[in-house]
Amino acid sequence: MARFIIFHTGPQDVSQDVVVEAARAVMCSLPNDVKWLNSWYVPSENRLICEWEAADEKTVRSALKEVMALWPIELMHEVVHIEPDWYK
Amino acid sequence: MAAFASTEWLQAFHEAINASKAYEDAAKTWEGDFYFIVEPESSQTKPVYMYVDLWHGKSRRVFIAKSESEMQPEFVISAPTNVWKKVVEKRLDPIQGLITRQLKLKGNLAKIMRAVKAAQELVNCTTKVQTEFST
Repeated sequence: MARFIIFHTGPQDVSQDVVVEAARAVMCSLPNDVKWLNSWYVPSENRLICEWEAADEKTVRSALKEVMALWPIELMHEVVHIEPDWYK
Repeated sequence: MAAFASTEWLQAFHEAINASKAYEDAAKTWEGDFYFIVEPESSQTKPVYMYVDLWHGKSRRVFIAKSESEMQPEFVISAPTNVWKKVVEKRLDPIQGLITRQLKLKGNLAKIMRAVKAAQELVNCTTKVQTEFST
């Protein structure tokens, strides 16, 4: 499986219900071969950075199609994981 | 020791905010007032509406409102006492509480998310108040 880092632009004005329902909708509709690993919010830039695991970029984009309007994708990169423990 | 969400507790919270340099720095551009609502535990109790007006790193005014309609703050955050207790005791991060709806929010979530440091320092101010919880 490949890993992807995605940079999303956050909405300027959004209700809690919209955010929570969108996140739950993504989680509930994920195919077995796609995994949302974690996310980081950047307050100073109103961006969301998410890490995904999937077979390819197309699969991740497809999993996110319902929330593209709320959190448009700015950048998506396939990445290679590096573990700090490797250097101990 | 002050009972959580009492007038005495709210006044001590107000004083803790205004004594906090960390909050002042984190919230220096913040403009927005709140209701922090303690939801009733049963039909025998009533909600408590804590009004807090936060402006440029200071608390300008706090009071317990008689009803929700008394003020029209920009943000309304409500939860039962047990959830507020987790926030005050720093067992629940306020942002985690908001984006998982453990703390129910009316208002622009994005504005609060951009002020995450201020939200955390506000919680730190509650820890300065000797708080007694009923549950």
